[in-house]
Amino acid sequence: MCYEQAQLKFVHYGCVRTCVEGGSFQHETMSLRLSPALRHLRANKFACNNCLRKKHTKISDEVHGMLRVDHAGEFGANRIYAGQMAVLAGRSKSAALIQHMWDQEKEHKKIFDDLMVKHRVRPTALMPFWHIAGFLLGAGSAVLGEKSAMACTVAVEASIVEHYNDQLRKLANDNPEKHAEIMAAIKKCRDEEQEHHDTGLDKGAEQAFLYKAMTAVIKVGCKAAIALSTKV
Amino acid sequence: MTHPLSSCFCSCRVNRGGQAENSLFSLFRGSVHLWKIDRMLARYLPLLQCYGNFMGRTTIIARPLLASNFSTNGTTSQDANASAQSEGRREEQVSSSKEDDVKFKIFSAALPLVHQLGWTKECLEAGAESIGFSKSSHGIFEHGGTSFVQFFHRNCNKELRKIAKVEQIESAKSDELTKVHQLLEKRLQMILPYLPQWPQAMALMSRPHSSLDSYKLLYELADDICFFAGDRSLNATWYTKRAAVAGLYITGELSLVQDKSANCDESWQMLARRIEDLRKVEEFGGSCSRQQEILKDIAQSSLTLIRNLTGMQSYQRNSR
Repeated sequence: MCYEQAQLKFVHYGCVRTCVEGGSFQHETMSLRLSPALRHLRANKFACNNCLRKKHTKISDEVHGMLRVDHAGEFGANRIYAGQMAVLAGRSKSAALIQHMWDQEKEHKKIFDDLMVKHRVRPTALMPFWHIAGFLLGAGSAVLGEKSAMACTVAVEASIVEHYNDQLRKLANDNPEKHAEIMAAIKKCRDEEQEHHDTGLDKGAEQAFLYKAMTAVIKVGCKAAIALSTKV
Repeated sequence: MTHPLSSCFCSCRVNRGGQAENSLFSLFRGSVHLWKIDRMLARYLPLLQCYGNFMGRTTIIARPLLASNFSTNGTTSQDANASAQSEGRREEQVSSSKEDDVKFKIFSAALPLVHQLGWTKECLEAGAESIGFSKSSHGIFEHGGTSFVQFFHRNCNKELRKIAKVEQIESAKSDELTKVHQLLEKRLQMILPYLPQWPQAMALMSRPHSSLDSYKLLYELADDICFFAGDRSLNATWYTKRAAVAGLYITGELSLVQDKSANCDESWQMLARRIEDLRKVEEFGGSCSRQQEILKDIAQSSLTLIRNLTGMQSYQRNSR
């Protein structure tokens, strides 16, 4: 098969191609060309051609995913602090500080609860899992010592801040006015998480035993959790 | 012949056949593989859907897992990752409301004729003719009887939402399960006029072809009922409640179809009994969580006991 035919055959799914035939410069977004046999699957869509759910919410599936993962993240952060408090309460000087940070996380969760209900977003199915895993992470890091608890906080908050920044960028690129409320909520949470991160560093997180290894492992775990909770 | 992209020959290498190839040529070979995968899917996907349906309609697959595109309803997204579905959707959005109107007209005209002609293409034809459209406009329902039933379900769900808003069920004083019962009854009553032909409708929706849509409809029905009954939970109970409601709907439907009592009283009583069962389960769940707190206290006090016995408590206190 000749080269031109080869180029036409393989269409890059999702990319924009410019057709220059006949002097026209038509932009065409390439879509996956379905075989005739499979085309009926695409045609057999919902009768109204749009997702029914979108009729009574005004945000897209991707923003649904964002809210879902943010809600799961705040829930997980709550459980981490609960685990740390369970071990360190009354036996550490930073207990009051951890309690304060935990209260702020509770507020964040409330914010996302309201947004989830407002947009009728499905919560992640892994909630029971984060309930246990978060507690174990918090309790485990606190058992290793106060500085390890701070290191865990630093790692988790760092990945959360990065994740929130990514989301803010995506939303701003799409339509800042439309997503103003959600962006404001994410901004508030991001700023306070950054505060927690800095507080953790101030309290000597870096002097924890195996600080680098622990933070690396926790950050990887957070990334995986974020990827999972967006979809599931 | 020169091709503008021929300058992009990069990283030549030798393939399995011993030929020198560049990455573009290997992309072309890859596209042939894509074609083969496409053919395989076309052959085997219907069988997979059949298997999924074999597990029974009570198996609820989380449909939202499969739906994930960025394009929002009505806004043109410049995102290069627009999926094929949203592509088609954008083209059809312009005429979708008009199409919906026509569809609804034909649908409403065809509904009274279901008793004689069943949930079929012929019924749609007759309905279209009765309001002056041409016979072939039944084609707006792409898959004939199946699309007819799908549209009926979708319409009933819409009606249910309207009823819930009008009767302000959400803000009523009764408890959640009572509201679920009310909404379920109302939804099941919508199929009563077509009960003799309902087995045919159920059969059409149970086909592998329409299994995805029937799961989606069921999910949306369960979600709506739970939401309008006042469920605002955001944890695992979100799933258990919707699963329970979906199961109840299916049980109700199956019971109605074979009910011989007057006014289908047996089915309504069965539904009431199931709701009572759910109430008992809820109470049990509540008592479980109370016991969980007791267990937590026991765990904490036994830890303290162990620390005291082993001297860890006093060691820590002294070492501070």
